[in-house]
Amino acid sequence: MSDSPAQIAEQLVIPSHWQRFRDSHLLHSFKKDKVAIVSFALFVLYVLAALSAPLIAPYDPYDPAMIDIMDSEIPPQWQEKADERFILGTDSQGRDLLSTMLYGTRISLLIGVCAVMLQCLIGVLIGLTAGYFGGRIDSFLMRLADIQLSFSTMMVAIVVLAVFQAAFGAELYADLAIFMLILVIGIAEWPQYARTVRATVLSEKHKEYVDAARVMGFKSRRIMWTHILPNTLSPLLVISTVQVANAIISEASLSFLGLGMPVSQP
Amino acid sequence: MKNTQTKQAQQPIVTRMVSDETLVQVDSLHKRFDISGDFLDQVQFKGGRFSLNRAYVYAINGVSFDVKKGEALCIVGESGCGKSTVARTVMGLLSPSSGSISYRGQRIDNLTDRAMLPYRKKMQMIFQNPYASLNPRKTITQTLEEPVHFHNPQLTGMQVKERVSEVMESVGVDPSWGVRYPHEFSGGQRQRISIARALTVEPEFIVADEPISALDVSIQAQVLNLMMETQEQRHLTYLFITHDLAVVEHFGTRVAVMYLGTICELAQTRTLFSTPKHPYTQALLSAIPRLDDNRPNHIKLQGEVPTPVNLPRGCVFHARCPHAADRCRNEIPRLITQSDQSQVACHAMEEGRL
Repeated sequence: MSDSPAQIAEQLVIPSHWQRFRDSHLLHSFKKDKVAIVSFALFVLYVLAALSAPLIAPYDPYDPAMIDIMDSEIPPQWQEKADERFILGTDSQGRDLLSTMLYGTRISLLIGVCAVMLQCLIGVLIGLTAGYFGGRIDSFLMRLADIQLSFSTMMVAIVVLAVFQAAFGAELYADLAIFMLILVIGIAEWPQYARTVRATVLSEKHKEYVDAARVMGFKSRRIMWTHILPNTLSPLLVISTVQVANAIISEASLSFLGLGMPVSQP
Repeated sequence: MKNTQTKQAQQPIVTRMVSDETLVQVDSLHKRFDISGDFLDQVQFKGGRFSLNRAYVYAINGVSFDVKKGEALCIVGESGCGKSTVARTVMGLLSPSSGSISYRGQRIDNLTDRAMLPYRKKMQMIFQNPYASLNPRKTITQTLEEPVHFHNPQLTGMQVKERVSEVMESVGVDPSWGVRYPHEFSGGQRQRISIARALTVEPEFIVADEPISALDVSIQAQVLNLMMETQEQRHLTYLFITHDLAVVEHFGTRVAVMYLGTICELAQTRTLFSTPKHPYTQALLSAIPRLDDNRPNHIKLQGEVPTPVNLPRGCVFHARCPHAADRCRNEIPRLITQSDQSQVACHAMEEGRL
């Protein structure tokens, strides 16, 4: 140890993010896991298809000039009476199903991811506060979560969306549908996150590293967000994957009930 | 005891510069924990009417002591006697139910977080479990640099790095290990890192809550010696919580023996080990296994430690004490200074019945 502190500090130059990622355990285990690679490839495929929908879709389902009601309900290519213009056939409006699916994926993914981000934001905020401060704040917030949880997502969504549609008219609703869906699905399911976060915070906050941070004089907010939250991330990731799928299914069932995206949008 | 002798053989006793200046003063500290649960748990139907039933664990019952600058005050006692509660209350992790804690004459137990901040730099803590006391999601460098940044916002990134690597070297951790995460280290290394974390803010008073009891025996001596070396180099004062009497004899300048939330004897280490005065201390010391004695004369105490929920009246030790008299059952003894400067809380001692 003959080096001066300055020299040692020089040796400790922090590697760039890319270098760190390249050497990381994450990438290494990803490369070894074939299931993960296939799943990731599929996921990328969907995202690419959604993003490049305007480029690869044969028709634009938003363009009324391209839609002919006379083309409605044509079966897919491999069945009789098919039309070679429409690979997967058309729907009751005469829109090409392949194009509708490609454009629809965009909306589904958008709603899924955004609604989950909203759920996550509200849930983490409430769960972290409830778990860290405990006592009355905890009781109050968790009863709030229980109330929210006692209404099923579907019911909340149907009531809110139906009232909104009745109050402001179908036209305004058509414009705001996507935001309303994100908002409703996001708000209806936050207790899932809040409860998970609270549970992990409760087990983490008694660990000595939290005490050590308190002894250092760090403020509660800093301890909550930079010390405890990173340690609650793994269960959060697990429920997030399920919740994205849930949100997409909720959106689909609401559309089925006539309360989701308007008919004019895929 | 065997352990102590080998440790002493390896390492000469560090000379300490203990001054008369009082650094930390704890005065008639009480801490009780409410265990009665929420409102519905407390409601009780008894004798035809409803009443609220509250229960407390009396963890600390009137503990007073001074920590002199430069010394290592050890607190010993069996599990559940309130040692750790004292440590955590002194550090402000728990707030006392009554009593006061002062640092250099300033009361610190009733300060706001902001007002407490300057004292956070002066007082630091080392924890028992090195596997839980480091944040698993932070690299060692992050863990060590954060407090320096926080308490010294005027330092540049380079100066912070220099200070951290200097501290890491002084505790025997290679600064180039800083990019690793805590799970890549062994228990002893982690405890060194915890010590380094406490040292980064350059404190003068360190509370160590059983810092070596979670470590392998072969590592205990290393960490203990490291703590003694740092004490000498950085002029630290320790409040050392332990249940290991061999460690106390090796490490402490003074010892406080705790039983059921009270201090029963407080004396210089040498005085306490050569002439224990309180009946509990005598029993405790007689329980140390000795090699040179094949006819052990342990003092066998009768019964169990009473529950801290229903404290016994009078002296907390009276039910198990061979010298208990009526006064012991009714009056709580106070710490009384003896001729050899040791302080003993015992009526029998005061009356000369021992």
